[in-house]
Amino acid sequence: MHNRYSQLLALVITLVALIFLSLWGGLNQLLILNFLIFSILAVGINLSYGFINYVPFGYAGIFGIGAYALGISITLMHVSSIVGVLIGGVAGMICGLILLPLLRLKGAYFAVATLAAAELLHKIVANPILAEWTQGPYGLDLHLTGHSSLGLYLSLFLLLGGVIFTVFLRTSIFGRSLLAAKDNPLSAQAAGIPVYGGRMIIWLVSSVIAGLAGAIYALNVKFFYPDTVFDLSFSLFPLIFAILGGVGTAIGPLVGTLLLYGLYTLIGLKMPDVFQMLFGFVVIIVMLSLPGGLVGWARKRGIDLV
Amino acid sequence: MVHLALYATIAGLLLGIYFALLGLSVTLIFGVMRIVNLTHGALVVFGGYMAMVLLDRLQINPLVGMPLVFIAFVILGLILYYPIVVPISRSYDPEFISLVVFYGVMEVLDSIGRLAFGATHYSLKREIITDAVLPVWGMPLPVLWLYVGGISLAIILLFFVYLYKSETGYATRAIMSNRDEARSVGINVERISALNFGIGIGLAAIPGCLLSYIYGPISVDSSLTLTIIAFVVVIIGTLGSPLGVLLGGLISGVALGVTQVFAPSFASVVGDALLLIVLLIRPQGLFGRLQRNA
Repeated sequence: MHNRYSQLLALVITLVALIFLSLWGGLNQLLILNFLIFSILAVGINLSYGFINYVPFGYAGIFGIGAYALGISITLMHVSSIVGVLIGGVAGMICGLILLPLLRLKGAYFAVATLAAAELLHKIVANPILAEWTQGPYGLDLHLTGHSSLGLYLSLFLLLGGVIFTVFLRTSIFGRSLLAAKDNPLSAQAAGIPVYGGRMIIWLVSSVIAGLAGAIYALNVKFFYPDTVFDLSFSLFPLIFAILGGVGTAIGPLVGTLLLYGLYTLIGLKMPDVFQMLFGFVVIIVMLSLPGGLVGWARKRGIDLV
Repeated sequence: MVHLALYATIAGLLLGIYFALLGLSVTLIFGVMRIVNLTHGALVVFGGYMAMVLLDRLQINPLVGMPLVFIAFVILGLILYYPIVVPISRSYDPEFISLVVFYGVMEVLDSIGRLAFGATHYSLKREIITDAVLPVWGMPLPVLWLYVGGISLAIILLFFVYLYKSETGYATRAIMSNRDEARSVGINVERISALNFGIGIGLAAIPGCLLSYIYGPISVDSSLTLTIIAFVVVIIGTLGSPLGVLLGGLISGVALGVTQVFAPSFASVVGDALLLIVLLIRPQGLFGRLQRNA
């Protein structure tokens, strides 16, 4: 237990140091912000996939709704940025509640259903009929100036919250009962574990994280189209990041994001198609030969990681 | 008004037969191997690319080129079967793992498509088959749509003959209903599966040859949309049930045709909405027994 918290502390210090070093070293700030957003999404998807075994292929839908909730509340209701981000979180939660019946589906069915739900949300928001509120397909301009470091602090804060929550799940009775229910729902239920309640809580937390992340992302870019924020990359990239790192762990999603997003900044910006191809091969190879991800691989060799 | 609705229904039925053709491959591959083929749309588009190259370089009519495209993709499927499908079917959760692995394959194919053909949206020349238009209550119905509907129906029927009359078809259906029992009565499950995976990949490429004649341009940008349409079709008609595919295709085709005429701005959400409704209300599809824990 002690070992785990010292690992967490080391992890957080490295992460924060890395980010401030690269900022200080003059790396593009938007790049770092995007890295943080993808890490947050990887942590959020990891909660859902790693602890209750539901893979939200349509995570981007909730992310986009969060972005639009912030956008609309700032452009039409003129709230402050912080309130806008909170509204994004609430919108994410409402989305999660609406999608709650999908938890009846399992495995690939749930994944495909959320994918359809995300596309549905995307097309509704982009529909010209709603242009009065969402500007339809023409994109939403927040007309914001300044505030540039607010997004950075908010995303660091959210990432930290997500990681701490994951470590809490890894160490607490609640988290362990979730893992038991994931392995064998029937026996877990027979042992008195509230399987459905646990699933609902994790799914809602995961939705809130997506909504908040979307809102912070919108705050960072200040101008976006439906196609930008509902882009399925926001669900599929973080999912693969988490799988490469190792799902169900706290450190896995961060390691995966660091590696693959690093690869993306190295070659993806100049040659997106080549990166896409490499990425596809990584997906195939990791899924077929490295089921526990990098953390699972390390654990097999006796290195216990959070 | 009534005429408009009838016109929309006729166009929708033709589109629906095409959609059924689009779903055949997904239902065969899922039925036999429990593999959720997210690459489907990309394969359809690649079938279209191949038909386009055949037409542009060798002046081969897409309808004549269709068997060539089919054979090429069957071979591709057989090559992919051993390194990709075999490990998936041995894993602990083939349905989910296949979903992610084939997402990876889709990324690879999409990037190859974009590297090789650019971001251009291609359409095959219509006049090479027919440019004619049939007036239906004063509204123009392209004769080409009738051709596409007829060809799709013929291929679907051919597929049913294969599945219900040939020996391999019997074995295939045995594997679909129970893999282990099929093995125990002496069916070579691995070989039949490999063959069907090849045929499935080939069947994915065939609608690609017709894509630009009835649905939309050939471009990797539409990969995912095509995959979702195919999923809608097979989930409405019960995953893995070939007969259901025809009905699923017709339902989604008519739904799309009618919304395109009466509420065009909602046409793009029809597929997604149908998929969600069916999954929530009747996850086993229209003909399904409640055997699958969906």
